[in-house]
Amino acid sequence: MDDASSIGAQAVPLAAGTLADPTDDPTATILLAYCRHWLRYALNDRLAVQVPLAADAVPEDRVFGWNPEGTWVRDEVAPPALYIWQDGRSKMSPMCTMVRSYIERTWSLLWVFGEVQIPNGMAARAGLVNAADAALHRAFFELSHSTFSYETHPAGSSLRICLTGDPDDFNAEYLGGEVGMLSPIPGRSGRAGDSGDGRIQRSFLALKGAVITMERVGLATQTIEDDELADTTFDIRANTETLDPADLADFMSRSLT
Amino acid sequence: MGTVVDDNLPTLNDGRQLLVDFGLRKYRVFVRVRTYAGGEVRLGTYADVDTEITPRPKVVEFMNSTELRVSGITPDFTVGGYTLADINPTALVDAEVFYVVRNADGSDSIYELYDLDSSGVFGIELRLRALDRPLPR
Repeated sequence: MDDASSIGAQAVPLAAGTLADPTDDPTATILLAYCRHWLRYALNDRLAVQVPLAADAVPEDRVFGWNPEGTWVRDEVAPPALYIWQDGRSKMSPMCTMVRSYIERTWSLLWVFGEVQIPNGMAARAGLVNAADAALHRAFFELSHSTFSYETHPAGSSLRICLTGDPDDFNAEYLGGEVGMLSPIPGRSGRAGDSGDGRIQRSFLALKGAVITMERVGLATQTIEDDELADTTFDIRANTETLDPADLADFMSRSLT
Repeated sequence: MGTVVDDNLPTLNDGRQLLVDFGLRKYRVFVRVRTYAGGEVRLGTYADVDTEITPRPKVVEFMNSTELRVSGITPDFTVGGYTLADINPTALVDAEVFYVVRNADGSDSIYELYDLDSSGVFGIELRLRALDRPLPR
């Protein structure tokens, strides 16, 4: 019996590896790469012109497979940044069969862009996050991009193939996004005569979205040598009158434990 | 004829300068107006104009320097001091205002204003909040 298998691309058991090897979730990793690619494709030409905020929608070292929660990340992990993390419980898909089981997971996606000021700093970028949301809708409708390659899979490959090489192992859908702004603490102005909730606020443009994935659950597999119980052979003779040893069809049924 | 307050503000201001001369005021505070060429805040290239608040005010740190209380700013008088417009310039469409606090080692940190108390006749007090937010470490 071979007990090792993969759930999606997640090998179980984990490889021992070395001390510094990241123990990442392969599904989070591919979603980060794919969403980053589409966000950069959709936005970078525009961002390059609208200085001085970032010219790259998601720099290479600003993708994270974990939930930033309340951590404020302005300096250490400065925006733009893309976070994707498993949100809530995973579950077995109700559509699974006796042969193939799938787990279904919901992922939260958070894209944080640069800091803007309200008022007097939003007009030029008011629709930026909306564009990012639209791009991700298209990304998960098409499930590929002509310039997106992943590991050994060439550009244009379907996202479903890119995870394990088998499109039956994986699928993903974008559930939509919410356009908003993030502030480390509620902003308000101390300007004389202003109310406490303030006229001037500095906030970070942000998109909070969700992706759902289905990943095939690989099970333990039986092996010939270890799990062989018995072989049953039988022959079908194609000729009826004259025995012809060469004119046979041999069958064997192997029973495993 | 001026009031008692008017008459004493210059002396008070000189006294505050003495504290600076004695080395008791290690922070320098600047009002920075950053104007953007794109016609909107954070759009396009920018230019900074810094105005230092002198004599150096008293700065007290709170919350691991994420909040500051800046006090001892002399209100406007005949030949010195500051008006509220000097300390907190009117917001413009293409400019943002924030505060640069220069530490004794010469490093700068930037802050935004979240409270201003001008009720004291001898001094204006500011409450500043860090714009660099490196927490948690």
